[in-house]
Amino acid sequence: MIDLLSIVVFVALFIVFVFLGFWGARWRKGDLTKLKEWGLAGGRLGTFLGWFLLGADIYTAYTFIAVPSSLFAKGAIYFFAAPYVIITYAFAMWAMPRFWKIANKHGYVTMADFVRGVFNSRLLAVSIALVGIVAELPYIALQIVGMQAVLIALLSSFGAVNTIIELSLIISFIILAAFTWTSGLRGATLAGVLKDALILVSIVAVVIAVITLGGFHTAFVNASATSIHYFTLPSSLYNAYWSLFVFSALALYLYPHVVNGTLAQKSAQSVRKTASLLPLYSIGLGLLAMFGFMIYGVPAALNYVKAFPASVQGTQVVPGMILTLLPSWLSGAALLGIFIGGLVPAAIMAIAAANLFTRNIAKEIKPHMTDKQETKVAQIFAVVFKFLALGFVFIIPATFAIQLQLFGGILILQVLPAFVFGLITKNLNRRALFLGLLAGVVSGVYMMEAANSYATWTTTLIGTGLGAVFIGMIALAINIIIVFVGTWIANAMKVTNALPRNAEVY
Amino acid sequence: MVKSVDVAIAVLLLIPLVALLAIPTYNMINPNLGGVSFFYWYQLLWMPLGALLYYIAAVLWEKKDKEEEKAARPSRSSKAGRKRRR
Repeated sequence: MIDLLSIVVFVALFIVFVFLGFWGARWRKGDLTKLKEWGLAGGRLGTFLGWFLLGADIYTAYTFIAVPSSLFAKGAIYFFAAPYVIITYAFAMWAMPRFWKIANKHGYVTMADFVRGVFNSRLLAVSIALVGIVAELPYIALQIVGMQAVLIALLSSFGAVNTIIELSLIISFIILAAFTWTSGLRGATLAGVLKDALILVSIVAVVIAVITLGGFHTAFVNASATSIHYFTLPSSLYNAYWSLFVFSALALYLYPHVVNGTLAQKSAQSVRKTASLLPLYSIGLGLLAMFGFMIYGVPAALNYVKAFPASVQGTQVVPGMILTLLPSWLSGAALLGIFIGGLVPAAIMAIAAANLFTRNIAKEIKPHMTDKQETKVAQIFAVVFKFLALGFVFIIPATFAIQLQLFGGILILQVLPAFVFGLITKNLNRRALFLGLLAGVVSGVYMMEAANSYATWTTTLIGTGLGAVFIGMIALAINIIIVFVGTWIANAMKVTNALPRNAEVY
Repeated sequence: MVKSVDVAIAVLLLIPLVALLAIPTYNMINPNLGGVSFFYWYQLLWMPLGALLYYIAAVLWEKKDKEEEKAARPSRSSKAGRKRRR
């Protein structure tokens, strides 16, 4: 139910949240004019807080809005997000502690720093930083879509739908920009704890309500009557399913904000333990995803959703379930949880992109900046990147917002060869790595456009001889082939990376 | 040289992957759980199971790292070792 009480609870909790954000700036006080303090929380988080910080990276609008939305619109195929957020942690447990140790030893703050150290290439480091930044933009855009969806739900009974949609977008954006500027990563972590508590309570409440209503059986009957495959996967989509979850899993820990979350922890062991326990966090994601068909068991929620234009229908699935099943005060609290579930990750992502820009691009141009100047540059660009992200909001109908994250994934996957192979060997040619990266990005964008017939983006799958598969997998394959063939040619021509003799790379 | 603990860790990390890649083995409606098809609850089940297996792997790994550190320490220069102890 929505009424004035929901809005009062929403606003009251938002004030608590803002307070936590500001208090976070003072908590375990560090000098916030230093980039490492603003952007990496000083690097002192243990397993417990690290778990919340990284959890905040996963529990985003992707989970609350995008996955349920696309499951509602397209069926079981989008449950790929569930296996994705299990196996990604196996990859993380292997790669990230290794990376943490090397980064700690050499004082690296970004992945680009690391790549530059291993392959002795400024060009490669700058390109990796650029790809990292650009890949964050659609992911930030997805968070803005999520925040907007909550405001639409909260305000829709008070005016014309289209005006509300536009107004919601502007408010979301202003709040996001102000929040990021003031508190950096510290505030975001503390606020993450509040957010997760709110969300957890709401998910459990909704699921219990659906069970007591006997909603699952109704959902099964009603959803089966539609033309969408909700309960099993058509066998033609097997390859799409595994390529989506395997390559999303490989992509997650390549994102700058996740790299940041990793480096903010205090030891390699705590990085590994944090990762090992994160699949528990994913249970919430799985349940939320299932709202996409559960809604067929709650006719009032289904009617609520169907009242919106098709382009935003999907994004109203979770808000709709909350509004129809929970008492009004709890609806307000739950909606706030989802709202900051977009806000906090968007801030974390913008901070990461800005960190990367300052360290690996601005410093290349202007090498002698003071700590204060560095932080200022990062703060300014965190805002700039949010504006750029806004552009992506308009490329994709909100119902298909998950494609924003998947497109980010296609891009960020292209840094995998330099990063992951770089953890094992320095014997890959730096020019081959650069060409591979370039080919991967260009082919990825091209396939994205081709798969969507050069119109608005609604899919990241492309038809192949094996049926539809995730574009990210093909682009990465092209990238890797070029890296290996290029390295082989370079070796034949005796071209090296010109690393100084006896350089201690690892 | 491959140690048995390395194999154990690798197996623990790979079990969930294999279980989830075998799509045809779980892509079905029955046995359903109160109206939720097997496809969904099987994958949900792998979340706590995965966390359990991964956590065991993390603990084994930590032990292994500590032992390797211990083994590496005396081989370094004795001066550095003495300094650290103080």
